[in-house]
Amino acid sequence: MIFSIFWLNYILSKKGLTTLRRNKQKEKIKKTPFKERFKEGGREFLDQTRKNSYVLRAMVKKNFKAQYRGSFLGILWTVLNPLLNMLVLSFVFSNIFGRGIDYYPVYVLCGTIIFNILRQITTQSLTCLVGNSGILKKTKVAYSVLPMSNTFTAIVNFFFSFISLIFVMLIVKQPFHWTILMTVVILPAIVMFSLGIGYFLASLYTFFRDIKHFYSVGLTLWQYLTPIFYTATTIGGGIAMKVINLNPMTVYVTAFRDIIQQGVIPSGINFLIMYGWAFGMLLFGYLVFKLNRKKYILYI
Amino acid sequence: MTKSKPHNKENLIEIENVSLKYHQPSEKLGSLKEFFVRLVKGKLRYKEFWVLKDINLQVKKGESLALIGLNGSGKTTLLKTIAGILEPTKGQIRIGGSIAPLINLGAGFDMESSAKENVFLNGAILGYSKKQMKAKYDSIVEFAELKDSMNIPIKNFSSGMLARLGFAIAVDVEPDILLVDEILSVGDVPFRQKCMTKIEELLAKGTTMIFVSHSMGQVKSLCKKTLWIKDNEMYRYGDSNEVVEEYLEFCKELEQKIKK
Repeated sequence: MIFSIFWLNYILSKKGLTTLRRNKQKEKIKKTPFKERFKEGGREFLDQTRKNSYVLRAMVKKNFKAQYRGSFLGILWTVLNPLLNMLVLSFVFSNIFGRGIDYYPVYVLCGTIIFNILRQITTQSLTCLVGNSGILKKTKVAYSVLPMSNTFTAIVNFFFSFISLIFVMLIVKQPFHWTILMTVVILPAIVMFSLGIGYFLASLYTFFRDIKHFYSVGLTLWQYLTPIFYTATTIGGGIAMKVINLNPMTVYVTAFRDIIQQGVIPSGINFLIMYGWAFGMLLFGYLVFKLNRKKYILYI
Repeated sequence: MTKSKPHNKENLIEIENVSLKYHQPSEKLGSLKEFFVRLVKGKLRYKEFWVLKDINLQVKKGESLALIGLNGSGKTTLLKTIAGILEPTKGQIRIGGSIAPLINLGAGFDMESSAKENVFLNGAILGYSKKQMKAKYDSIVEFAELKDSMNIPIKNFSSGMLARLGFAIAVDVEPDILLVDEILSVGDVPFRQKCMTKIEELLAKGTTMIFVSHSMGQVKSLCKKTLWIKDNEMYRYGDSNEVVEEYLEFCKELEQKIKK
């Protein structure tokens, strides 16, 4: 995934294009052998990717440290936070929505940690260009690395949350299924989907600072329209029901629950929907992000 | 991202007809509502101004060039364009080497992290791996003379200490091209002297430098050639001594005008 983004980045960047064009001109003048041209292009691309990956790694580390800096429990919070949230939600809602849902705490936790991926990536990406203006204004860093670094932070967080999920499953004696391994297949789709939105929002936020407030309300709405602590069937119809069914997060959350709780692998169509949204959103977000690339520096 | 190579092999930097236009809204639009209101009214006008006009410049390998001029004339903008932070609206820049921009020391420092972590973070931003930075770490600490404070969060550093750290990192990575922007005016006198010595050392090794300064003494001693940028355009380009003389006279005239 990362590789493909860097590749896309390179192709889209004007320099990549001019390199290609320049190479074409060269061909007319000197007729450089194709192999060498290919090598040169490849080397440049690899060099760039390598440098970007250093920044990426450093940024992820920084993000992660910043998250729990100064707290006593530190990294333990990544496990505790989803657990406590789950406790609150299942305490409040178990009598309202919880009836008829088996292993309600696991049900809630599955929903929360999947939605948290989206929340983390998008809210962090939203402010990442403006927040890192110090770096962007004074050094040359590929802009696309910043939202990407948030995805890695979110993935690391997800794995810690996953540990807490396993704890809860043990406590409520939810049987384990081998399909739990399928998480690895579903996770990239959710991350790509979120990153796409993250790119889009990061781009928008540099021009309109209102987006931050809009989005925090929007995100709350989105959360309630995703079956996190209720099942889609409890809503029972109407417009809300239609929205819930169209909501891509519903698909992700349901698929995750299927593999964790039911031991069912999502159908081919569901995979198609999941990855369709993922690629579509990533492409859209990334294009918007790239096309405005030159303007950011003037606004941050 | 990657730059095309100079056409002439002797040159390390080639700047051809570079102009840069700032495309700023005449009033800063802070909100979406305002944007749409203006869009509908057809009042979405931008104020355009050229911050760089038709710059042509060639810097040979190992050459050091000074940029002088009044505040706001476009010196830093030119440096940023060379560093690739800003992209020229017109024209082309061709560069044949690695660049270390010392435009604002400690750009990208994370105030909450310790100095040690920041060395690696800054190194990554400059394009060096953790392994490479580890090899350089000791000499960076030694140069910055901050051995005892490397584990302290840098929010507790004084501005002088920050400048030391930033300079030590940027200089220690030994780039082909050094872009220096008025940074030698920070730090105490001994450290400033140390920086000057280090820069002279790098120049002797064949590093190319573009140097922005308001200290004419430094300009004369470090750079053979000087470019005077006036009103965003190239005004004089040539031997440092001559250009600096002329510039000083120009400044004197301005001073007298103010006194009157």
